[in-house]
Amino acid sequence: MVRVSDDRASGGVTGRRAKDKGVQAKHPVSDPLALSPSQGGAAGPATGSGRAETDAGTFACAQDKGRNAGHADTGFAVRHRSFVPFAPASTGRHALHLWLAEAQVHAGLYRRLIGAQIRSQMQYKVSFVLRMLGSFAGNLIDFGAIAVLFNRIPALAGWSLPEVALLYGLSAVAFSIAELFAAALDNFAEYVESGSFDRVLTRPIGALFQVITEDFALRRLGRLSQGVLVFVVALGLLDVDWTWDKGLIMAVAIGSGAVIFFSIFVLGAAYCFWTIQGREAANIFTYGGDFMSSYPLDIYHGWLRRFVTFVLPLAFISYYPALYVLGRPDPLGLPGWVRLLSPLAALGMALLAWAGWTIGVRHYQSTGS
Amino acid sequence: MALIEVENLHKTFRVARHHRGALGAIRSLVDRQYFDVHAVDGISFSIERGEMLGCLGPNGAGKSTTIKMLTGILVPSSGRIEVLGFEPYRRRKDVVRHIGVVFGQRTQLWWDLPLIESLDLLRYVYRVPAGRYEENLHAFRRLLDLDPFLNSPVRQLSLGQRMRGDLAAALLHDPSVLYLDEPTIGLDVVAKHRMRDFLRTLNRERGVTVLLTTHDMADVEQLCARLLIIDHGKLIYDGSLEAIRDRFGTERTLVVDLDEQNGAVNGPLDVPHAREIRADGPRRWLSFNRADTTAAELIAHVAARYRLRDLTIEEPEIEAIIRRIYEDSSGISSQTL
Ligand SMILES: Nc1ncnc2c1ncn2[C@@H]1O[C@H](COP(=O)(O)OP(=O)(O)OP(=O)(O)O)[C@@H](O)[C@H]1O
Ligand SMILES: [Mg+2]
Repeated sequence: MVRVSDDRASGGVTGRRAKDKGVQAKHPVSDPLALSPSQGGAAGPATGSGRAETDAGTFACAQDKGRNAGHADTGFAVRHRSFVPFAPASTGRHALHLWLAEAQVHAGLYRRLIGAQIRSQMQYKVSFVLRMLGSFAGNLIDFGAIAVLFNRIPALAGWSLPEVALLYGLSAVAFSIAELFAAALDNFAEYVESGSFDRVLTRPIGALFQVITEDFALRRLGRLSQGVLVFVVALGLLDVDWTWDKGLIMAVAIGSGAVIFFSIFVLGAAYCFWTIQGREAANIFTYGGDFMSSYPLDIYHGWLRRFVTFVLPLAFISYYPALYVLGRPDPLGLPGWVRLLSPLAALGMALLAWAGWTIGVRHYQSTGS
Repeated sequence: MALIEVENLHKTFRVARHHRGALGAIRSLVDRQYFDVHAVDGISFSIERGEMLGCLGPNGAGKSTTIKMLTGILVPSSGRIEVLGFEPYRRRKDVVRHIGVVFGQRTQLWWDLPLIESLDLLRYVYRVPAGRYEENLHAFRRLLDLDPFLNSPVRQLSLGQRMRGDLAAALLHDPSVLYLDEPTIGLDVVAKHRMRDFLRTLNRERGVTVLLTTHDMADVEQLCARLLIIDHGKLIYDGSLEAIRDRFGTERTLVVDLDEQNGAVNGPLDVPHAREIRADGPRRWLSFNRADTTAAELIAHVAARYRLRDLTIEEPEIEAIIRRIYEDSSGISSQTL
């Protein structure tokens, strides 16, 4: 017979919502697991339906045995599939355990996937070495330009060369760490346009995680080493009375800065789900952001300063941590504790990036062929 | 509950209308206009565990779009999908762990890596236990004859080799469902034959539920007990191939070779309940309807009037039937088959 659907009205939003409730009710036990991309959530339908089957019954059993026996060999801390649906509601501790196990699995997977990418990059050794040297030299010249500038003028908005070098070094290190991981997002527009993103969505691990494992920009180690060099030189030249809190602030600034830059890369990539111009938009904020946070904010206009403090928190990458370490006054006149907020800014950006990405993925349209 | 349930599924793409001409690009920036493409327009069906379905439909019918929604790649505009009890796009990771997907047009493998390395990586992506991985790899190497190109980078593989690699990759984690979007596209006759053999084995011995789309009628004839026909985003047929043959393939053809030793027969043959549709020298094609006469009756009539050397009966080609359905699909969707 022909089935032509005519109950279009019931297929609307309300129909869908009602259905969702039904789904949840049917699988209450697997819901706590929704937090983690674990095997567990899936074990419900798999084992349940697999066993009920008569035709392939023997096969399904063999499969289960194979899985249990093989666990030790996978190298992952994977829990037994069949146990999970009957696990008690997860306590905080339990959830933490799951989370740690997942993190471990993903770290292992990251190493493997990136390892494979690097191996294939290494097929072109000469080009690899040249690009790395090129990026190192290019960035050094970049900083050389600032040094030359200081030959002419003794200070930039009241900042000495070593002080600017500290800003520059912090920003460069944070940026190049982010770039190392986010390299694959550079070509993301093309990735979406060509429909390659389909493949990512057919695999049971996070989409963003998979995309960033497509490239680890070893070649950009050149930039990182240049940043580290400038940073170390700045530390050597500065006349700072180093205490543990200042050291901690520097370390936290680098971590937070890397997260902020990475989040901007992700937001730029997420924008590609709507339009192919996403890449240019992202570049303004990533490369532009790196540029901005390499200089004292004092040289910028008031509104721009407020923008990078309150809206897009670039000021927390290098400027506020540097103010703290150098003990300089804040031109915006904000209270002292604001200088400690880099991790919070990073967290905010990370959440924003995650939300943007998730909405973007839902928006993905694939291609017509 | 069925393994896959689809209810009143819709997918509408919003496509930007492009302005033409030199200023078009600029105009498109400022003045964006969209139009809607109703790629899938209210489809419902359900699939039981262990079934093997073929999905046919003309270009642009909405087959790939449907598969992408079943996989969780695309979010439906409205309607409901449940695969293994989950909505694919909400619980993507949980669902895709139990399905395998092969897109004939595009590889799922890492382009620059040797096939074996891709397979090895997928083992970790899907967390397949080592023992099971070895078993499966061994089986697929044999069934799909992967050994000759196991160590070649995927980009160097021929289309048929790549397809075999993709199949293995989609099956390493023992999925319960396999979606194949045009799996036989571009394959030679032998390769097609082997592909079908493989799919049959998979379905029979492992109980994998298979949903494939194709433009090759032979795929459906040889593999699928059940057939879905989609056109203009609507499901216009859901049933067996035999049923459709009975319903639409009532016209059969009797081909006769006349014995013209005692002079040629001039003009078309004249027999009741049949009409000559083609003539080529002594060979004549007579079309007749199952409802009007039987083959035996017709042969008796022809043999009584003409001297025959040889004869055969041609069953209606499924291609022709499907073509007729595509051509007047709007007509039959309102009928009851
Ligand atoms: N990503 C997309 N953006 C816009 N329109 C799309 C997209 N994907 C598909 N379409 C449109 O939706 C319709 C259905 O496309 P689909 O790819 O599902 O067809 P199909 O049945 O797979 O056809 P074919 O046999 O040619 O592969 C077509 O009109 C197509 O142009
Ligand atoms: Mg298609």
